[in-house]
Amino acid sequence: MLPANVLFDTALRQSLQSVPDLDCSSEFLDEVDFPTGYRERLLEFLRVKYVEKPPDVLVAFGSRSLDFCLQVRPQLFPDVPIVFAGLGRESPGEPERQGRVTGIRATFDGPGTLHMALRLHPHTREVFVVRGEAPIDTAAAALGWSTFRPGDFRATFHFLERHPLQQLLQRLSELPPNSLVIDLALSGSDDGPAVPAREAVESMARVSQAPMYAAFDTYLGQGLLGTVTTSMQTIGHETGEQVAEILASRGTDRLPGVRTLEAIPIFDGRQLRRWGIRKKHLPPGSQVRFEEPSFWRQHLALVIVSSGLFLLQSGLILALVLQGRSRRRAQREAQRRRQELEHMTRVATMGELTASLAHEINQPLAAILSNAQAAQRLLAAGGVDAAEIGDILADIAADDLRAGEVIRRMRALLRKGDADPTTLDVNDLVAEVIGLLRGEMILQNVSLALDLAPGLHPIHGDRVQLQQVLLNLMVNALDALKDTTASNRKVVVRTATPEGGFVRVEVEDAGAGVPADKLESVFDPFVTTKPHGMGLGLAICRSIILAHGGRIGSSNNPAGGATFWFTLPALMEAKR
Amino acid sequence: MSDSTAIVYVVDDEASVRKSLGRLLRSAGYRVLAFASAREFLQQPVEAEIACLVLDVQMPDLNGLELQQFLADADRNVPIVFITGHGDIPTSVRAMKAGAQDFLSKPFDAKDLLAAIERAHAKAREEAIESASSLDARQRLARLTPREHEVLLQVIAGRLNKQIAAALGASEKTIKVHRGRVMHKLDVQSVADLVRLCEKAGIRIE
Repeated sequence: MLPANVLFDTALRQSLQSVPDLDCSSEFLDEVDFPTGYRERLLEFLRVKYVEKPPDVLVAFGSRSLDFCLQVRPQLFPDVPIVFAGLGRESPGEPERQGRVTGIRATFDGPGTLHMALRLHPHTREVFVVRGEAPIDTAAAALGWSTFRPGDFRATFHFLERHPLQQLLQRLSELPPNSLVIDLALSGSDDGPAVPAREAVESMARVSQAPMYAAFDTYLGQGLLGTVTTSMQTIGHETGEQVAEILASRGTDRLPGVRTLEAIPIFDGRQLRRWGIRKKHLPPGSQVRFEEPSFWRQHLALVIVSSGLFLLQSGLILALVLQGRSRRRAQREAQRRRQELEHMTRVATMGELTASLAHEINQPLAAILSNAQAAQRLLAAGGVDAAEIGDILADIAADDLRAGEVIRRMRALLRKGDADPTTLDVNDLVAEVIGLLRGEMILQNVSLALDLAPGLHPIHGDRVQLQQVLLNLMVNALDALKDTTASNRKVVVRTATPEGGFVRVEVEDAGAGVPADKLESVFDPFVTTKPHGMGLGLAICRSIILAHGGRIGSSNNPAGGATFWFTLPALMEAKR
Repeated sequence: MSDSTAIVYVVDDEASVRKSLGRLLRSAGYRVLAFASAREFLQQPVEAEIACLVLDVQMPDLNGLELQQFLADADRNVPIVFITGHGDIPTSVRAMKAGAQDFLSKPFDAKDLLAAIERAHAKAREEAIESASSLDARQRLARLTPREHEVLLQVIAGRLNKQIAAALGASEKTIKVHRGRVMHKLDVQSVADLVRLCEKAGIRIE
């Protein structure tokens, strides 16, 4: 079952890639193979793992997973919608009748596969059906085969068991002419040396004297000729669409209805050539895979097969590794986009502050020039006072460093690049950002009050990103004061260590406040209260703070104006 | 060129700018009084000396343009040289229209600042002299009797004794006596001098 999981999982993630801010994690239940006590541990594990971040949607792949989800949902994730997938059109029960359950039903068309095979091989006299013994195979046998009546066909049916594999291989190698094989087994073999399903299918196809068909597309590529089914990728993709739909309508109680996907005939192009079947004889709408077996693909298959063999006992690890890789790639991509966006808004913010920054740099430059020219005049006048010249040069050096510091801070904020987390003092961060905004506050005639808690715990984070958050909140506060009377032009920046191990920073203004209907959404992308705002600044602030393990929020002050705050986890052991 | 008695007031919230300007202006021979805010400057008692003000535009609380307005309203005509860390055109136009002597962007060359201060002092000196002579003229005119003042207005209007006598209902001889007293009391030799004195005192000539 595992490769089907992976195909499904990969397709699901691909179709969810366009959903922003989505974290998708997979849990493999694997209950089939583990002893009692496992379920209790698993429940506890899931509870601990998701207590902080409960999921918005549960996706259950397969009927056992669905049963599990339905059972644990009331305890672990009350009211979280369940999307099931991997159920056949005809699998029994109506899970959607339970509250907040929807899903995708696929068509695993066993009879359709059989009919198609008989049409492609009209001289068939004997059909060999391979069944598995594992519980999962019994379930699979039920999929679409409930209406199967061997008497409806001219051919004779034989049922072969997958186990033991050696015996099965022996039978397959001795099949009479004009035979067909239908493989309904899903599981591997655990008699003698254990063999995973993929390997088993491959061995079967290698020795089989007759073309082999299957009810699923999972092992197409391992020597099976074809199948009539909904492909695992399609199921994954459609499930992703349904999840995206649910996420988009979050807040409403509506769930999309259960969707049933049609089966299509799917073939392995190499097997078509092997058995001499021409493509024009295939039913309309057929999909042919593996037409041009590339060197790479052949090697990939080898790698997967051999690692599958190696990891036989712990297929779980294989899945997690594959998964981890695609997840990391998606995370890297998301992170790169976030960095681009952060950089863009920093540049835009700095653009708004050019007057202020020019002011901040021109002050020391003016002092430097006046000092230097005063010294020139003193020297020209003769009777040089060395002490005074020394004082002048010291002042010039200090002002030069000050101008350099403004430029350094500006460059740091405009820097593009990876986060560089270090240990930081939040009060220092406040001082640095105020250094960039001092000119702006003077230009706008805004007074600043600092209420900084002494001896704050340090925090761990990226200096530039956190400066950007503060800068953004402060620029917003200044903007909010643009239309207020002179007496209200005041911004308060406060730092505090409340309980719970978080350092808290507040930026309070006495402006018009945030409209009540926007208090909730103001951190969402493209929501703005400014006539020319992009609505990205606060969205980026939120993603930065969340990435630092903190929280961010806003409220209107009783006396007017708004307070924007954020918290960051304090480094407790390193108190200064 | 600089006048050793001349004062330069410097008002800037930036300590390093105040300090460096102090050095520069003292090196050019000025007396410098520096203030960190407009309010601090206004608490300083008004001095009669020739003075000018080097004023920063952007300051917290009362800014440079507001101080300029305040001084104009209080009838304190001290010439102002504005300095600014970020000069924009609307601000400089506003300052110049309100009578500023000059408008310099930081960082400025000492040569430009000293020249602007020189011009400001020249203007202050001129204004001081003008206001001194106007005071003198007004004091002299105050010595005249009401009747003599009436005669004076007729004389500077260019009327003959006969016309004045008719207008004021007196004999031509009496007018001649009044006219002699006016010339004597005001210490002028000709009608032309008399007209100039009246102009200084701010009397409108019809």
